[in-house]
Amino acid sequence: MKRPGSASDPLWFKDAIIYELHVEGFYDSSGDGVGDFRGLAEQIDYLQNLGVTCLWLLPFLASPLRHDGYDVSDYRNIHPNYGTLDDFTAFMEAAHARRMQVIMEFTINHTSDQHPWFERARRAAAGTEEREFYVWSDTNQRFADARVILHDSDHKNWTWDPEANAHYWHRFSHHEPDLNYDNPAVLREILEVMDFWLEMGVDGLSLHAVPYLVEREGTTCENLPETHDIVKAIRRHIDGRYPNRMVLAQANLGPSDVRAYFGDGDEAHMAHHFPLMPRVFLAIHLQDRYPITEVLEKTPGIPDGCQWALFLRNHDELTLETVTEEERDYMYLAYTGEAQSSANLAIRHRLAPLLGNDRRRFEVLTSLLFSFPGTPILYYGDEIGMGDNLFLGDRRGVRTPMQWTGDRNGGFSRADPQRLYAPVIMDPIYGYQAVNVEAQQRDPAGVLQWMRNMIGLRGLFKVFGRGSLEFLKPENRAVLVYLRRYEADTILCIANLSHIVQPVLLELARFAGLTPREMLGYTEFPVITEQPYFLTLGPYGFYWFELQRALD
Amino acid sequence: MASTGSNSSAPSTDDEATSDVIVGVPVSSQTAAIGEIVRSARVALTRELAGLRGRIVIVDAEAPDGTPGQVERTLGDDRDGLIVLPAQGSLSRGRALRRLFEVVLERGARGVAVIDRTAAVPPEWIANLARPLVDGAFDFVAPRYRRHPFDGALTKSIVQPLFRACFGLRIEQPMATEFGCSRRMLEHVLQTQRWPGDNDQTQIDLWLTTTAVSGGFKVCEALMGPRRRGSRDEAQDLSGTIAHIVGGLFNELERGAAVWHRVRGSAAVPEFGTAPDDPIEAPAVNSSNLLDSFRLGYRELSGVWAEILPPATILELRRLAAAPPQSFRMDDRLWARTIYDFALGHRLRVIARDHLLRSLTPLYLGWLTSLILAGRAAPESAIETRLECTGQAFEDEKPYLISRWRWPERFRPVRFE
Repeated sequence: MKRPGSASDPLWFKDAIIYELHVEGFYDSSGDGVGDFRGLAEQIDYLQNLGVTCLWLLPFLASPLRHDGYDVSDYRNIHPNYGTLDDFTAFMEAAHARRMQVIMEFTINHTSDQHPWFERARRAAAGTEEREFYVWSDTNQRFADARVILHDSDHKNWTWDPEANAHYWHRFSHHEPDLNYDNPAVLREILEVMDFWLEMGVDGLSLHAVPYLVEREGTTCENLPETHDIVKAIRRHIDGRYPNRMVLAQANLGPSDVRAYFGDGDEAHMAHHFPLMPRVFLAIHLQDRYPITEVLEKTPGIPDGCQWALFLRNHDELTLETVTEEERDYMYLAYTGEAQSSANLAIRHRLAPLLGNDRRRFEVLTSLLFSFPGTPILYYGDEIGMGDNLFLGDRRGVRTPMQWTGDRNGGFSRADPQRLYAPVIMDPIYGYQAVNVEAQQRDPAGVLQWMRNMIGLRGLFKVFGRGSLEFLKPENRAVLVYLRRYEADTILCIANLSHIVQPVLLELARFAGLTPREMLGYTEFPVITEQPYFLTLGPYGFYWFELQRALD
Repeated sequence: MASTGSNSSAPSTDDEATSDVIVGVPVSSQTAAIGEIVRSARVALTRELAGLRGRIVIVDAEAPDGTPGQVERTLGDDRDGLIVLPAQGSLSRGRALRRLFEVVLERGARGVAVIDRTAAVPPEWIANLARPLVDGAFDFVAPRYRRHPFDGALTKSIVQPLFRACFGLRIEQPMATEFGCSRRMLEHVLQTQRWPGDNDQTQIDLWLTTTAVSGGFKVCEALMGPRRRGSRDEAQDLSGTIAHIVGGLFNELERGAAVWHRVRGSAAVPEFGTAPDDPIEAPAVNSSNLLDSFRLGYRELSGVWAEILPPATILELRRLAAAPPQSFRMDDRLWARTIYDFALGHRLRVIARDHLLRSLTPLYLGWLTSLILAGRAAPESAIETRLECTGQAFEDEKPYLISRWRWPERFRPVRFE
């Protein structure tokens, strides 16, 4: 049965609060040590109460799981560890009944080498359509200008396949051969599997590794015009068949390069703003707003129907690919306390450990995430201040089981602890006995309640997802000040990026006569006059003000 | 008005297929008055709205009690200008209204006047509901009944002032089952995916009013004369009625939070039509019984209230419970904050919602006692002034509601069982 999406507003994603999670790590209903869709459905009321409006599911399709599910071996089935298609359908119904949208991660650049398409291709004769599902070469010297993405694991982009008697192209690991979009049959097949999930009611597709779809000699094989043609074809296909669905492009690039993936409003609806994340951490460490204002002022405008996806942390490392070498060195010095803290030009920590478990830093950064132009993405567990495990390999350290209670396995699973897909965090600061949902639900001053309030507040104001941005530049650079405006709303946001009290004088004469109303507590502040407006902010303090006219 | 009727929603000729205005009656039960309602609607269409092509549409919602069959028995062959949409299974009021609205749009009508099924209404007042729509001046017409200030106290003590403070319009009946809707507004509401739940009869009416206000539609009131009483009015016990009405109102607050957090102040809406100015008899009430109920409620429920209300309010209620009748007066500010705290408790589910709503009953009776004691020897105008003060108190205390809605505070320490 073809199921509709759950959104009635085609721009729903602009007002969303997205919660990114691994089905594997959220809740285990079967007691086998691995999270599953039934478990996710059981815990969906927690997510509804938190206030998030959209769930972004990391890879859950059938896969040998050599790359966290990004190595798909069957596009039409979910991995048996996570349940069945019926379980998935029941979960979708539960989410839509709560008016929550669901986005799924979709790998279109490559498959697993265990995918039947690859098995078929390596045995097919050269030049046949089956063979040309992937990129083959007699030599490993083609596309020499393309960089190696995973420096710390694979060191090459070509791998010899003795069965095919040829090299195959892969931008990621050698077991993830790239699909060949020069073969029209590939796009046809990919669109068909997209149809499969969209017809099950999925509201959005997050397209992984978009820049690498097409290869051309003499280029970096990234962001080529032909790649944009593929994204446009996908968008056209979805728009023509499925109303109110969304395409998110993942391209780890600077904002001006990512801008191209919005096209003229005919490519992706959303794209991640990768450079903002490291600069936010840089600014808070430097106690200087410049890294933030610079990157946001350099961010080009995007079409009306498009949106930036913003995040502080996600399932990958805190990537430093889009900062300068000097900034990268600063970040390593500032944020990597242990040798295991960095990998792949990135930092491997979750949010709370990155911030030294400092609640005030957490709050001010979250205030930025929620008030910058774009749609915020929360990474599961960050809402309770979960920690990480640097001693798990690759990116597994930030993908540990959700900590629900102080009971065995953090309440995540009834399995014996040694059966868990990954150990729960057990250290004395972030361990499940100290940090868990149950405890925080009973703590009115806990970070979870604070997040609920902030999410609820943001949801009341479309200005944050849809409004314009204008920075004010007071003399004190430890203070970040900006205006968000949309329709009749004018919001003044002020954040102290330093650990000590800061004063600030604001030139607000153009708003003379308006009354700032602090938004969290709805407290009225003195009326703005022609004179500079004086405020003080506590350490890492922030204010959001609605500028209100006097009542007649 | 067209001279022939139809039993189908798909008339056979162009002339029959179009209408300028429709009078709609969703019917699920208690159809004793349907014949009178139809006759009155015919007069409204032929005399009061002469020159317009009008139709009467009855939506048969096939209630389990079989009463819709009475429609046919009552009207017999008397079907002039009448469309009866045949039953297609049991319909909630919400779904019946949706079906009615779809027919209004199909027939190209400029608007629909929806009439309650329980009692007949004079043709002039039906026309009052419809005329602002066909003139194109307004999109939503709420009824304004002629009532004694002591009548409809639940609406006057909670629904009206809360709606006024939150949504910024002073409408007498935000949850009325009789109203008018323009084509423009119907197109809007039928496009929305969210349609109120099947099991709630009142919420759909409030939902339409709040949708009109939050959607920027032009709203007015039609003078309707004294409100008729159908048997439905006495159908529920007071606690059940409060749970139903106030629960619907609180649900609507949650849905419309993004709208009402921005609304400041309030405005009156234009009135249309005329209504007789005859004196209205005050309903018989026994303030002594009401006061006893409030005091009993304090004794039995103050522990529950402490989960919902802040300590300062509990102390004020304790003082009130001990006060003699001659000095018993519930302050408007206290009442407004009490309702706001109940709305917050409802939103946060501090206790089971039905339990919370029913525990409001003695507090409501305390407010009613206060109104009656203050107004029993006073002229109607003085009681109206007192009610206006209540409405203003809800407006004045609105920042209290917004502040706690955005940043809830707990009134009691967390208990560790």
